Amino acid sequence: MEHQIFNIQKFSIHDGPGIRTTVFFKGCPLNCIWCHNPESINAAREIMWDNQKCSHCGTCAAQCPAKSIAIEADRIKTDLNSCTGCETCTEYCLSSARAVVGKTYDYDTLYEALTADRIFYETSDGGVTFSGGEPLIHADYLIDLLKRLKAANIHITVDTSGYVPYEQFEKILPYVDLFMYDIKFGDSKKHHHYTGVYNDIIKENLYKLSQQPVTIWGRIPLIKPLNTTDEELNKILYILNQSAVKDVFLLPYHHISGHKYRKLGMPYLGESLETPDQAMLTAIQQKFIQSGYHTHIGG
Amino acid sequence: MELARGSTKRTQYLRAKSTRTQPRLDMERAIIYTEIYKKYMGVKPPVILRAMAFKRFMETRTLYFGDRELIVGEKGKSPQSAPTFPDLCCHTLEDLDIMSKRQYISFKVSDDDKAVHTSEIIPFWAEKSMRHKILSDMTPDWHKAYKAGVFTEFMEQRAPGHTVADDKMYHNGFLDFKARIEKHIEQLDYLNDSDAVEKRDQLEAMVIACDAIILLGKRYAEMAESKAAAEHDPQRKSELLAIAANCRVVPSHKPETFAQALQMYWFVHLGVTTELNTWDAFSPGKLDQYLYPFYQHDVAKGILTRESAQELLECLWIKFNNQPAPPKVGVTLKESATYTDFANINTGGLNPNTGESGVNDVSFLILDVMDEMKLLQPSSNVQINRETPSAFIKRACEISRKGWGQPAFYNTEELIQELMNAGKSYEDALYGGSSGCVETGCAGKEAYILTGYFNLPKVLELTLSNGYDFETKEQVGIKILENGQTFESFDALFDGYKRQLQYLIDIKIEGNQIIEKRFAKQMQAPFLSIIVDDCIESGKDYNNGGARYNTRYIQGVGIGTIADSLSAIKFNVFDKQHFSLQKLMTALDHNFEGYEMLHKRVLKHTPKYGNDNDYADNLMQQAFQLFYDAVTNRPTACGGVYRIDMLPTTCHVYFGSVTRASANGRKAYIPLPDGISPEKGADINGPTAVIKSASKMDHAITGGTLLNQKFAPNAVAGEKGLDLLSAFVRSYFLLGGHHIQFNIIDRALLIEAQKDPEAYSNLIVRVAGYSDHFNNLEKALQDEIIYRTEHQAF
Repeated sequence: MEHQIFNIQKFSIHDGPGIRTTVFFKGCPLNCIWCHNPESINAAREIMWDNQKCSHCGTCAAQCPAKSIAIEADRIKTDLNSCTGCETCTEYCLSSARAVVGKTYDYDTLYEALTADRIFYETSDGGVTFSGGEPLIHADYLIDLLKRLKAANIHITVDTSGYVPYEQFEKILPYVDLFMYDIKFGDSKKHHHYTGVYNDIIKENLYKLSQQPVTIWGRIPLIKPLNTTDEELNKILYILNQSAVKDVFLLPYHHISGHKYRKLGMPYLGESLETPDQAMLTAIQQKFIQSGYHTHIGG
Repeated sequence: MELARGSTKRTQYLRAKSTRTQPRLDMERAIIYTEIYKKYMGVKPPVILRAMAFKRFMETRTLYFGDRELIVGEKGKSPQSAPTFPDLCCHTLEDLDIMSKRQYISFKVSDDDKAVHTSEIIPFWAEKSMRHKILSDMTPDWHKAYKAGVFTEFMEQRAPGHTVADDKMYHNGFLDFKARIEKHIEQLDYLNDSDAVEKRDQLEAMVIACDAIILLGKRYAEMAESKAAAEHDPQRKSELLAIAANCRVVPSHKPETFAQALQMYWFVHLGVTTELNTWDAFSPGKLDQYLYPFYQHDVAKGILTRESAQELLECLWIKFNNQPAPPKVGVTLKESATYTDFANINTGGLNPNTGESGVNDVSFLILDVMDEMKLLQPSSNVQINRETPSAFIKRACEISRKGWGQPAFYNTEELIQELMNAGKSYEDALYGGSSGCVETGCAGKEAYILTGYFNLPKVLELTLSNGYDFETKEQVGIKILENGQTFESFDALFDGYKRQLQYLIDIKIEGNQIIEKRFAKQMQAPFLSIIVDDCIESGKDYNNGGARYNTRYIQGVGIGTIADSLSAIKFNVFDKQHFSLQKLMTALDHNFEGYEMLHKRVLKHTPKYGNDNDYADNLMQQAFQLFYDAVTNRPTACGGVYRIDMLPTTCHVYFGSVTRASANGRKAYIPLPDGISPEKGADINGPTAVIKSASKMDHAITGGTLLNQKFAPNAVAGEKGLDLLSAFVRSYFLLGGHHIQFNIIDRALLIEAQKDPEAYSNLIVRVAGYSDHFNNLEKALQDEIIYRTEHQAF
């Protein structure tokens, strides 16, 4: 299995406590229509291409050592099977219209990248966050790395959709300090409709994980109008009430990722979705607070 | 309409007056000094002459006494009037015209002033001013390098200064100082000490200077008494009587109360900054710690409250703000294009007596005053160390987050290490702080004199051009290569850079030596010498090596550009062989026009300083070490040593304007990066990477470094934002950083960033569930964030 990483974000301050470095893996079992990181869904390497910036000069194709790039009438086509991810094309792209999404790392390089900002973790009670995509599908790959980070006393957070076999959790559980666990819908059918999967496994895993001595934060993307009704929120609360979650983070949906879909050549189905307004956010926050949760707006 | 700032009606009134008055020139000092010089030059020894002029000034100058003031004294006839110093720089009539008409940093000059300047000042001083002497003294090589913008010269129209007071004025009045000086005069050994006569002149001048400041206090006391007698409002009458009483005590005697301590400092400040224009960078040092005993005493006695102490401090803040820096012209204006006087107050830090955290109630009070006053002067900073309480650093971050850059943050442990590396004892190092911009010094014990900025990228330009400057069309540097030769390896090029640097530094230092001697012999500062250890003991002037420690600095500018340019050459020409050095040089000659691919390579696909990338950071270290080695520990003319620091004031803009395109992709005439900040747009890995890179420089062997960081307000919003900022500061300081300050960016800047994305590629904004570089966002998203920010910007 490929372990493609599409971003290592330093000074990440919204993916867990303190100042962190966040690793974004590619590959996700879900396919949420509102996904902010559509480049994270496909596990394989991809090319992002900005037709608004591209001057169609053809330099990328001419320079590509693997000859993977073809210039067609109104688009640039990259053969991902022969592409080696060497980034020569982006190096030669004067218009900065291309980006290679997905890189593989050896452990030493990754460990070095993740520990470069250690001093900031120490002063801010921060650490390293694994996100994605779904980082737990890479659990086997992660074990050795997590061991090393743990031995170095670095706080580890995993941001998960929960949709993996529970064994995946068990593999890395001893090394994780905090799970950020997404609850998107209480209603399983709706869950399936908008994310492509039912939520039974997600719920079961949450309950099992709740038996373990690890902190879990609930993260709820608020997608107006899909999951912002009282009925739907009550169902989400019902799930949370059976878990060990005490802190809830409400993440209001934003129309910010449309351009990424365009660059990836993917259809964007989130056009009709809305950002909850401040009044709605406050009301929902109150609702969660009344149910006994430390409730935060934002990451 | 500007918010009325000030915790009381009084300080609101005084502050408004301070900020709404147009700066103007004030000829009174020039006239009085001219009168004394005309009468006694050649009659009295120079140092006595200086003291006599100083005394005459204090004796006869116009005294300003503003309504509702609690602390009295101005440098000129009124707030915002700037005395001129023809003894240092005799402005031409054209200078005066430019000063009054220029768009920035203008000074009003009245017709009467112009007339006096023409009839009295110019005829006497035109060929006697230090500026004239210095410029005539310098060699042709110096002039060529100066004109090409290789370096600047601080003493060209200003006197050596930039010093900081310690606490001795709070324990001694000037009568006490005078008694001590007289004792030293009595003890002079004319039989065995060949310098005894010079020492006598110096000490006698210091006695005259003591009398001068005592006179000023006395005159203010009398004025306050007569005003009180005529005052009908009982409230103001009692205030006037209190001022009178204060001025009867200080500066003759040591202060007994909080108000007297502030008035004492202010008299001393006026003395130092009118005796000579020490770039006005005279600062009170660890004010919170010096004032705290008075604060405790007065509060216990019931004569002071936190509120009344705040009002008094605000009055002092306004006094600082009333003094524009001495009017500058030419290159000196370009390197320091500001009204700011560079008084810099150190708060927090360690207690010099105990070595423990010095944070006290007055420290927090000073932060409140800074926050309330929001004045550019005095600049205020906090010193942070392992013992600093988190409440203090968080309060400082809270003010800093308001986005106007104050307070700046300094690392106490690093300051102490820097001072000890420069030969200070631990006890003296504890008195250390920063002054001016970021310069490290030992308060009350050191003459640490900045001599000029040094344009590092220009040296590389001259290395590649074999010493020829295409801008001035002169052979400025040395010819390293024979005709037809080229640099065959990176090492050869680096060695060429080293030789060129050494040659140009030698020219700078040679000039410095002459200037230092001229000041030592003709432009003494007997008043300043009273309060700087060990001028009394050694019988030597502050400007003649009399201080306990004597240090002269050359300030390196453009380390980011030089590191990245070396990286661009090493990486692309020699390692990867993407193009030849010749081709790169041709591209530079054409300012990259027609060389877009090459430009993109050096700009975007080359390791850059500021990204925690060892390839580029190692080159930064090497370039830094070279500069360090070329300067550090060389002897100065009066017994001190040279050292380096890394700060620019506004000189990075001037140096940029004389520097052609750089190998790192910087276009011609664009400003260099400020201080040790990375080249604009080069740091794309976020603020933590900048911190990591910057801390790879050995700050402890400098006399100060400057790092600016920009954040969008929402990236550091909320309680969590304060924790993050605090952690950010602490991290940098644990890594050995000297100084950091923040720009928390507002909407206008975001719009600017949108127009010029290359220049702002390190700007971070909060997007939704994550933060990102503003430049990475699509226009629509940028618009959305700009819109959002407006909602928050109130």
